[in-house]
Amino acid sequence: MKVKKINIAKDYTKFPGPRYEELGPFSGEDFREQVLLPALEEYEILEINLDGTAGYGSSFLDEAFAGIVREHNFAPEKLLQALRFISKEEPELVDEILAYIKDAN
Amino acid sequence: MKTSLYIILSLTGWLVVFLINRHFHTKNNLNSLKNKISEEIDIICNLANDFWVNERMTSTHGDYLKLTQSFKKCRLLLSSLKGKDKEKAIHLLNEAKKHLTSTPKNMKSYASIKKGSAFVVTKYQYGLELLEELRRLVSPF
Repeated sequence: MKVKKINIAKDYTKFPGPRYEELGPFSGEDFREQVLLPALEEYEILEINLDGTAGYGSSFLDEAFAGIVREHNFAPEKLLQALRFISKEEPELVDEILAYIKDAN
Repeated sequence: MKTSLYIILSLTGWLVVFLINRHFHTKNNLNSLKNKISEEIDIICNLANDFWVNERMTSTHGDYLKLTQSFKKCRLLLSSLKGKDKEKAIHLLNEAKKHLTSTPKNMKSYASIKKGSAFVVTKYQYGLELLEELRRLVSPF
């Protein structure tokens, strides 16, 4: 099983931004299109480390993860099987993201 | 016999002093932490007010980042809390964050935030109520 480890603070940015690219840099939309979707096409499992950033807005998390369901017609169940999250600093973020994915439609 | 009694009483005295000292040291540290959390809640409330409802200023990307980063600072402070209130405090902060850092799906510009509209005011007030509940929970007094 091919697993890709993504550390958002190291591999993308320490300063996650807003929901859409139009609103500012390092948006949830940009992270989804530039990092998550290419990785999902190549790997079966994505292990995403959320620690080490300056803080996530809820819009970033919703657009990055639930946006895959809304904008790219992924089945929520399929996406949930492909994603693993690590968050020692804010473990509650994992449940928040899972809820966004489940409620995406 | 007298010497043994003297030693036992001395050790007991030192132990009592040590325990009292440790108690107040721990209490002072906890109060200091709670004060820092209250200060950070104040900062979040002010940033949220400017971002969502203050009609005299146009919100920017920088304002949004300040808000998300302030939530993270507060969250890291809550990690140092101990006891039964910690989990509830984290839950309240995260729920407030969901309301105050969630921008509408059709919003493509910060200038389009309709400050004063029922939707925005309701969202802001609900987030604020959660922060006030958090403030009461961590109040040192």
